[in-house]
Amino acid sequence: MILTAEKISEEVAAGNIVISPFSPGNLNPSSYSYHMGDEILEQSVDRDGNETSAGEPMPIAAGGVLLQPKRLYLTNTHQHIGSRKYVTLLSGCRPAAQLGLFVQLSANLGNLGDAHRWTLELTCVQPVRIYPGMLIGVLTFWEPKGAITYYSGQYTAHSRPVGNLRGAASDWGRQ
Amino acid sequence: MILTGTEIVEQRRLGRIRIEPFHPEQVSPNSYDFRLGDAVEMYQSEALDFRQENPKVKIPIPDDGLLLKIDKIYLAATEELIGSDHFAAIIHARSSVARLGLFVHVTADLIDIGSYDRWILQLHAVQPVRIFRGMRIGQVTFWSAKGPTSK
Repeated sequence: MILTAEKISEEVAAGNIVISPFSPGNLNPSSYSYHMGDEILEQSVDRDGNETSAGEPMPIAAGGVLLQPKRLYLTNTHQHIGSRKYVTLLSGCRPAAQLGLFVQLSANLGNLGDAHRWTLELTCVQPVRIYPGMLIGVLTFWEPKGAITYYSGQYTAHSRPVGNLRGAASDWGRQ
Repeated sequence: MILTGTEIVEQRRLGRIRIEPFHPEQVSPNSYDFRLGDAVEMYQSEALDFRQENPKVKIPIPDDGLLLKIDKIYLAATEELIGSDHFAAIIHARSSVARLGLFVHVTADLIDIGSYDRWILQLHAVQPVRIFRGMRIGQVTFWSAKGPTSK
């Protein structure tokens, strides 16, 4: 079941959902509007699909940054987000969608576990200027069924935008 | 929990889900097929900006369809008004539409509880694809909520 605004608020107060900073004004009837951070990391790959930019995220100027189509950018959520009780789904918001900005590339599912600032994948259909700290998406929280285990991967340790941590392409094969 | 097609029909009968116009043949096992309206909107400028007005132009969909280009974002209302004060709704492309490489939303799939409107689809084609007004373009699912919905 999806949590309503009042239930989200109640569980934030109880510590069962982390949204930090939390502002009741960002609650929608069954979701919470979150903001992007103020750093961006452009991802690029060579013709063989190997990542070529393992650089540091760059600050986004107050005047924004113009994203170009067919490129992949990483930023992060302004808020620390997570829950050990409810499953988080993270998607874009309507204003972003209507300007053709994809937020998360078919990877909108969070894991039960600790809170952090999530890395967001951005790509756009037409060039679009984005601004640091702008409203970019919505979170929903879902009650799971079954015994709970927590995420043990490495991404929760990162609160700045971070690229693929699986390493070289050879690591992707069946073990 | 997700509602079955039978339950969507029942909840609509009870007035707890609104879909207008409603056609029983568009009910699927666990969703309802919605249709594309009769026009799309496109932006007049190539580069868009979150802090500026981004003027749009409306383009009626001709009888023989409209060929979508790959490098543009198109906005299009659904034919139906859809919403619920009790259930959250999520929109999806129909699989036959997805197989032609057409996105019907750009990572914004949630119809919040309490919203009742023609949903504005964000159409994006991976390869050029022709769309037709009134086509069954997507599906909407309904999900039960936990917690008060009085807001």
